[in-house]
Amino acid sequence: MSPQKSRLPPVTHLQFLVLEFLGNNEEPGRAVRDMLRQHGIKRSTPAFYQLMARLEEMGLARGKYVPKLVKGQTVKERRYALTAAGTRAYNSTCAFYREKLEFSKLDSPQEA
Amino acid sequence: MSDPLFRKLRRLVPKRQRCVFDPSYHDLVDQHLSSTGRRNIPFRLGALMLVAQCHTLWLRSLVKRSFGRRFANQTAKAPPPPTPPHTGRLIHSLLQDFRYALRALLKSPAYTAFVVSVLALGIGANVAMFSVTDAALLRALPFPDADRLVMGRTTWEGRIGPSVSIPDYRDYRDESEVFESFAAILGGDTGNTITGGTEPEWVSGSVVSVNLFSTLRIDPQVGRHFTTDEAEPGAPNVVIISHGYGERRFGSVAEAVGANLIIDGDPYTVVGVMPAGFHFLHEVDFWSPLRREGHRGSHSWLTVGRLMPGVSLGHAQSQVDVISAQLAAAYPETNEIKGLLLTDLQEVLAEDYHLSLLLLTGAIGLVLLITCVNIAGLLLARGSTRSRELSVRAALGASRGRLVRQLFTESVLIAVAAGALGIVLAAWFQNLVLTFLPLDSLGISEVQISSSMLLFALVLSLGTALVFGGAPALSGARANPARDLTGGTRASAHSGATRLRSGLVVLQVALSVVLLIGSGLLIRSFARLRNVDMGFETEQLLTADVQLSTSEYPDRDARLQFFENLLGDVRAIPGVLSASAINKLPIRSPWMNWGVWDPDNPPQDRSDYRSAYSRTVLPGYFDAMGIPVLSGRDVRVTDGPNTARLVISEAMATWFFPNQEAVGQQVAVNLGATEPTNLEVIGVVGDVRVNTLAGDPGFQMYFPYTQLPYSAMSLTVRTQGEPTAIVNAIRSAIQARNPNIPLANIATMEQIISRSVAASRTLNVMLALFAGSALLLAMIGLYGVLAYHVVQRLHEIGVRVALGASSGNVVQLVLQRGLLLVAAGIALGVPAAAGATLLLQRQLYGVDPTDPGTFVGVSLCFALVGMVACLIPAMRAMRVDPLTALQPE
Repeated sequence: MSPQKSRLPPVTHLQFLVLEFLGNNEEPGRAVRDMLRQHGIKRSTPAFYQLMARLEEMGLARGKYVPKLVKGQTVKERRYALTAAGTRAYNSTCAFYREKLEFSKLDSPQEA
Repeated sequence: MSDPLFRKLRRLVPKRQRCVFDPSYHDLVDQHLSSTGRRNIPFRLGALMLVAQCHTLWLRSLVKRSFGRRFANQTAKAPPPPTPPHTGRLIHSLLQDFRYALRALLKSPAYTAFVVSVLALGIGANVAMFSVTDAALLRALPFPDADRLVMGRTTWEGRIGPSVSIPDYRDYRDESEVFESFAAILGGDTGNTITGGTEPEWVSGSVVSVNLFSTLRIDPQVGRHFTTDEAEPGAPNVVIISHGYGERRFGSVAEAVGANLIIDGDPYTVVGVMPAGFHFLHEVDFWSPLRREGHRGSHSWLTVGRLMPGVSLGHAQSQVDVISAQLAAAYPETNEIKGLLLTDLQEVLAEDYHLSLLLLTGAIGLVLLITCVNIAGLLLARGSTRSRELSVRAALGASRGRLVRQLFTESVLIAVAAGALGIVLAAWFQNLVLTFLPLDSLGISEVQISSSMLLFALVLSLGTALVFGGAPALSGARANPARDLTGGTRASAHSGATRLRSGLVVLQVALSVVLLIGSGLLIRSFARLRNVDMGFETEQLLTADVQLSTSEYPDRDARLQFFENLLGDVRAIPGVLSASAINKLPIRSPWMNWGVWDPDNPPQDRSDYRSAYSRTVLPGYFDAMGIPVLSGRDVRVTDGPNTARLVISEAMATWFFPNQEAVGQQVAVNLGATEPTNLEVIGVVGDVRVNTLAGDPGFQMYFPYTQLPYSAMSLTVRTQGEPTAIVNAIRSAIQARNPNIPLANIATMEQIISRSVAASRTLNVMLALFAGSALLLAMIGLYGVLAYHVVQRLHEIGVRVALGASSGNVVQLVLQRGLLLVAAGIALGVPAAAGATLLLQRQLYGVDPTDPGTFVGVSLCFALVGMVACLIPAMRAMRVDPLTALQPE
């Protein structure tokens, strides 16, 4: 049986990682950046927020400012959550790779 | 956002990158507060780094957008593009010239890089200035069909007011048929306190007629416009908020609509949020609908109208004049000499910047011209060294036209490269110009790269190529193979080219003299302005605003008690010498002048009518400000509401009561009621400049707080040491009295005065910068000509030295020539400056446009700097060894 031809995922690996991290939660930008750092991805703060701004432009994530108190002073924190389109993009990417793995002609490392 | 550093830095970031800068900045604040608890120097450096990183990202995306696809396509194609099978003779020779010019420029990379970067700076600065001027003076406002928007300003026998009274506004709105809609907005912004959040917040608001936004044709981003019902007294309190405040307060604008805000103790419902970046006349956080019933003699409103399609400004004005005449007949006591002048909205809003922008554009244009002249001098010198090469080409059959074209192609290439680099630089310069010269009232926070700007850059580049490349190309192409190929280096010295270079230096000096004199006049004027006697002591004086909620402090007694208690607390703070409060601070809050006259001698006609700046003060104000009490006494708490007393300024006392004691006399004041109020003068104090630093201080009158108890007052605190050191102590004192009252607009009096002259300072700094660049360029040009002159005359100098000329004689020879050029430049520049500086007349304070001191000073300065520029070539000439100079080549 030949696998059904599916479209390439609409997101990059990096974007996929962010979507996966956000999941069903609302996360502050700093937490997302820390997560990326743990994956060895080091970006300056503006470069990171450019990545997030692109996700917002694509309609995959939604950002908003939430005020919080730090040592008695109010500061704003940019928090992100997935949009419905973001959830769909994440699911379609997962489905794409799941399908590829299912019909892969290569042996998986465990089997080798 | 109330963080001033954030606001300043945000302006430096390209608009597209602000969505990146904002969260990055907040993260930085969070990080620093979490670690050190304060915003220290590393924080500021970090914030600057963020700006730089945002620029880098922006540039990268710009390059990627512009060239990414082209590069990708080129790399994909392995073989080079095929040579066209046939090209016309002209095209072929043009391509040949292009290739040759490119090779010639690449052969001297340092020279090319220097010329291109100097020219790029000049072109970039000019393009940036052009785009800002274009946006401010020529391009339409950011509103649909902005050409139909007009501003209505009150005129008094032709003199512009500009504010309009509410009844007049309503009459013009209802009676005229030329407006699609006619709206009003409060002349200034209001300071308000919003409570209900984590801490009280000071915000600024504005009151507008319900049709203002529809007149401008700007819809709220979310929510709705005001409805006509909401203009009725007793309707529910509603506000439309700005995008910035919506995000700041609610995190997201979508959540703001329907939310409640407690403004000055009263509940308001948010019905809409305006789009990001929108502001009109004032940058405020919210707008509330106009419901007030005003007096026809009280003018606090600005009016904006949208003309019906096809109605001209002249037609509209004639109909408005008819209504003005009807109002004058119906209300002669208030409207007899009043009119309404309609002016194009863009023209009115650009009035403040008009002259500054034109002056700066002119000055930067002059700098570019000097740059071009300088580069022309460089090209001429280069042409002289290439005379042998050009002669070879001429000997091999190249026509003069061909040589001109070849040399000119080099200039065009330089100009095009400089133009391209200039456009990139212009994007940064624009932000710089807007930082120094913010065009807030026009709603311009950033100028995008437009097609007109690119066209201007192209025309400017080609124009500069023509200016700096034309003469050298014509001169260089005058090749003489018979002379140049036989005579060695000395033979290459064309006397025509030398004369041309000298002429160019004279021109540079003349243009620089014009700029330096203009700049010198402005600097002298600014120095006089800063040293003007304010009428009070500006040092160690802290000011801050306190706004009481009208619901919490509804009456005179409650307000008086609060301020009395607060001032008692503030005076007890260590380091405080004296403290008091006033409703409108000098310089920062001008206007509010009321009609005043001698009750025994009421004005018979308009020329007798006088007005005085009206201020309300608490006891101790004159002591805190350092205003001398010349006779009588200060206001007291016991000057109760029914005592009708006031303190007047010296000039007012002298005017109304010449040669007699003013204390104890009566003055009549028009307080806006139908009948004037007679008040007793209890004291005379020194004159204070309350409006601007320049101009006449006018008359001032000070009412005791008990008579006019405003809810918003400004504290004035005289301190022993650094004024800002007691800010926290004052804040704590207020919080202890009432935690819902914020302390806002904290500034020292010196900062307030400094801000009031910021525009003059900006103009001065920029013109001084341009004048300095012009001086430097002129001196480089002079040095180049003299250095070349010495090289050309090495042989002659050698002969003179061999025949016994002393070092002094040789130095004199060179200095004489250099100073002759400078003197010629000054002789040309001074009369030109005398004409040009007349344009500055309106910008000058206490200095005549033809101030002899400045003219002589600049000329002497030029002679001195010119001498320094001549010295290096002169010293070189002095060290000429006759044996070396006379050796045959």
